[in-house]
Amino acid sequence: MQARSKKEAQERVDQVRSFQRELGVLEEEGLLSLSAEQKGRVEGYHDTLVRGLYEQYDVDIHEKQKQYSFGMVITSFLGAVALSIGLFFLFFQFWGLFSTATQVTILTLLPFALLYLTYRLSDSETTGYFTKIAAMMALAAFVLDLMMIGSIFNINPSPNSLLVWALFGMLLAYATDTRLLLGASILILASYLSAQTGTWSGMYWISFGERPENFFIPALVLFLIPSYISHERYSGFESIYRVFASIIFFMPVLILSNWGYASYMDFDHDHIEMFYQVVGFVVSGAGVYVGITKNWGEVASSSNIFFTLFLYTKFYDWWWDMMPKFLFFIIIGASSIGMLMLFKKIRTAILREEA
Amino acid sequence: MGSLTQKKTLFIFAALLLAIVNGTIYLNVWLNQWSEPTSVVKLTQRELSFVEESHHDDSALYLHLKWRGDYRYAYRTHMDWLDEKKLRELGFRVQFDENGVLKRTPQRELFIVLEMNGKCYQNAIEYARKYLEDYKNQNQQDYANSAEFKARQKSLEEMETKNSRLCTVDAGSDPELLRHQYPDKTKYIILKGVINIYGGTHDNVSGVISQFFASDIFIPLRFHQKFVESQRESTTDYQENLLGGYDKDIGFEATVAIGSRYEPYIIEVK
Repeated sequence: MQARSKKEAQERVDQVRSFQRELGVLEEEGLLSLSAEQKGRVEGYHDTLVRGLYEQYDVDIHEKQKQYSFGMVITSFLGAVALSIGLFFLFFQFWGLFSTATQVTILTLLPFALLYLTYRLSDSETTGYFTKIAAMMALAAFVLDLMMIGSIFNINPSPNSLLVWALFGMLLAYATDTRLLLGASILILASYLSAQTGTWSGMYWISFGERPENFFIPALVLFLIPSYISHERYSGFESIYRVFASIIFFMPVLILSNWGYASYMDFDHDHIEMFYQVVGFVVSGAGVYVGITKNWGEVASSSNIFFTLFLYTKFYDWWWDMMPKFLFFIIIGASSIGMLMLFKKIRTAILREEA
Repeated sequence: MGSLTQKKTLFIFAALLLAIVNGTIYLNVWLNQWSEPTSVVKLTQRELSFVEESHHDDSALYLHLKWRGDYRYAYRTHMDWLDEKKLRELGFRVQFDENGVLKRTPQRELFIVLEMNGKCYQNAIEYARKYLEDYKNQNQQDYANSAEFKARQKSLEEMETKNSRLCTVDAGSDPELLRHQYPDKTKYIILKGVINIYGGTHDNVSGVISQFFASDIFIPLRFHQKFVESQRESTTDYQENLLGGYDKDIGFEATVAIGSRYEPYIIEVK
């Protein structure tokens, strides 16, 4: 079975290792015994498979490697963010000393140079960490490019810069299989779509954040993307789309459930807040159900988190002022235990169903 | 192999995107600066505040646009002409709830007309002069030594010699219509800005200019020397400006053009 992405490859290797450990236990217990020939064939097959996957995807073969890999992921992330920020400050420090022609040349060529570097690294590097750092810096350089050119020539701001940054980030994310870049691009794209939604109602685009409902359409679009476009060959991209879509939907609902004044709707603010509280509970509950049914763990988890937030926000509204603080927190704790027991029951029911 | 081809294609598209975006921006810059400007005005340190960055991480220099709301207010946000009637004409939905309180209305991006050294500014001087005269008339005996008189006198003096002569006079969504109404390109500037509604009830609704997009005009390197020299010649201390920052008392005159895309650029500084 050919792995289509690094994630799939790692799952395959983990599966092989689990099988080998379980086989060992079964043999010790005397429940299963493979002949020497069978064992040789299975081990030979697994060795070839694992070696092939390692060479193609640089997966972790042993547990200790995994721990190092996790550290490398964190380090790579911090390095990418730090270098990108450093790029901005480096330019700010010296750009005023250059002529306009020099400024424009540096700003225009820098994203191209970093894009080319990213391309060369992606070809030569199997781990992908340095490629991802270069890709993040290429996006940072493009953002710097448009921001600084806008400043030099006093260009009136436009939401289209958000769109092109998002597109560039997504192209790089897909080219380098980088979830961090995809996440950043999704946030920028959501901002652009919200700004456009806002301008349709006649508002100044930068004020898109003042109307949380501007984020609903972007959230829906983002949630549907993985359902219509296959992402089998990309590690965890579908999860990123769904998680960010959930956050981009639920955060505005949470805000509107406490601050109806920000809504486009022309009703009493209390009624608007009540409406969004109901929406929050219903949609997060549905999200948990859909997430479990469709095996979208990230949707179930994020919906779970927001359901809890909505619940605790309601508890605060009802009881914070009217009861002693210790009692309030005891009730919060008790409700958590109640929810745990409920989830345990659901989990057991799923197990019975599977059996 | 398919995956490698796809990866290469994505990189090519990314490079093309960079090329197209940068090309479009430079084309727009060229159009803005090489077609006939919509205005060309001479502004001095009274209208353009040279404010150095308060931190040392940015080496760029800017000129900050200073302007008045109308003849009465030195503060730039209040203006009588941007009343409820005008706001409705500009497309704002001015609505009140059952208690007569203004409903939330999003701010709008519009074109705003600024008048240089015109009737509005002359009215401002006249207003300050009358303000001083009123005090003299009310305190005929002993006004000369009073702190209030000296403050009003200083206010008039600053109005005549230091305060900005740029005054907002109108706004609209069609810049060509505005230019038709204010045809003098050396006296009227049209810039893009953001207007918001201010006030709580029917009686006190008015508009507020939240910002001009081009309020910070970048100073190209070739003009830096002028400001460096002016700083050396300056003998006065820093003085607090209305913006809360610090102006160096630098004398200069900048010829500023507003391009066809309503983006300003400096032609000359002396």
